[in-house]
Amino acid sequence: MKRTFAAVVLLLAAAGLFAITAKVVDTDGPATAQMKSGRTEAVSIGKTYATGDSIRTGKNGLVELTQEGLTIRVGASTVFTLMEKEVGGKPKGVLAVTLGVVKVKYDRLTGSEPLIQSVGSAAGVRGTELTVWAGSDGATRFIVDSGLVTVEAFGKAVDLGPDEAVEIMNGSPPGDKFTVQRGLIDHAKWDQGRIEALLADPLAAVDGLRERLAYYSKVARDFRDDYKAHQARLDSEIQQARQMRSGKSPEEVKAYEREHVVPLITPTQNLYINARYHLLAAAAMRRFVGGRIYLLLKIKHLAAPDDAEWKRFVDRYAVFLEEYESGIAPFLVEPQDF
Amino acid sequence: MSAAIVALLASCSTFQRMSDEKGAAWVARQLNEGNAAELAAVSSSPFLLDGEIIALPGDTVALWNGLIKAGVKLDPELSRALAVGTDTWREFGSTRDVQVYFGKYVAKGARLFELPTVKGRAVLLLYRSAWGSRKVFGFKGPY
Repeated sequence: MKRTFAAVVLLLAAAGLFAITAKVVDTDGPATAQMKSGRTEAVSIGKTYATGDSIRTGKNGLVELTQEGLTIRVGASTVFTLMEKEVGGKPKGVLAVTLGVVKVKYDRLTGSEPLIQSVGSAAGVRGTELTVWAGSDGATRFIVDSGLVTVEAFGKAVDLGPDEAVEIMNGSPPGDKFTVQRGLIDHAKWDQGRIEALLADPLAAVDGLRERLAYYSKVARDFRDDYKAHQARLDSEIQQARQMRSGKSPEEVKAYEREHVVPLITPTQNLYINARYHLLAAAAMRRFVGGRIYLLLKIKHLAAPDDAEWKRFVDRYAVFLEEYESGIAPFLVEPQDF
Repeated sequence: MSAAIVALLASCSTFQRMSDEKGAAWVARQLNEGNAAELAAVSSSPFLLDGEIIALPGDTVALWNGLIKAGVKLDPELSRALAVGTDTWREFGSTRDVQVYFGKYVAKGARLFELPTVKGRAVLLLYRSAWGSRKVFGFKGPY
């Protein structure tokens, strides 16, 4: 009973009470949506998706979504997820591009523009149109069409203006920005280059995964520790308010709750949201980027499964999996067990 | 009476063996004849490859194409066949992902087959309904 109030707080956050939604306005080719509940459905015009839902397009697939003041174009062979995290005390939408290509256009500024998240970086935007390419090896390229974008990874930020781009290798800070040479390269060609780089140096790709995983594990752990401390305080204040009921007037109890219980609710929810956000980002990286890296290397070495390069890769990948198993997997649990 | 029970049990195990051989032989034939599209059409998504989950259907197609291109041929002679049980997931890996995959995606009644290849052994995770429809849930090897 003691934990009931805090559990409700958690469940509300987990249920996406503060969910940020996007509506499908156009779709063409193969596209499915994996709902937060785990259910999968074909994407169709008019459907609305919310925080935790993921859109996956096949070859030649395309989905266009709208949010308040924003158009999101999800290109072919893409994994795109609506997420949220707390920024400045408020839930903020996050458009997560794990694989493929997404173009984002802000039609008008609302002051609550979502962040753009790739496997290895995050970008904040200020009135802009930009394209995100997410590669099979976890690399990202941000290309700005108009407006301003700040791309950040591992504490280094790069400001981009119109016709500027930057690449971020997974597990590394952003590289130097450069001027976009339009029409010379598309996402498919760029990703082919990323695959070739991955096959040439698979251990570097796994090390990139491990670096990013270590970051996600640490941040998630910090938020989770804070969350647990907040939850303990919240539980204690609730208990205190409950004990007051026997000797104090209802008005006094309500005043105590207003002063001591209510102010803890939103920060506790926000800490849960942020811990969960980083855990899910790590899970997406492991599933889609890690899974693809493993597949590409497996295919390369199918004809020679005893090859030393394959064995080295398998050993290093096993370390990545162990790190994921200890740092992320145990905390991807139902809210009541968090 | 007891003779009838023995005969019934014997016919059950014979039927099971025939069904196993038929299911695994079909997959082996498709792979050996280069029919990646046929295999992709009966593959689960997500799909289990060794201890890794292949989340996207396009990647499962790439796997079957890769196996064919690499010349991996399955010998339809079964070296092992067993029903999927509580601990069968350990045949593929030791992670929670593999365990969850078995609990969440692998159909009740699915069976695990081990088949020889020129480059080592391969393991298939296959469901075959009483009406003959099939679903491949996983592939491991050659190892």
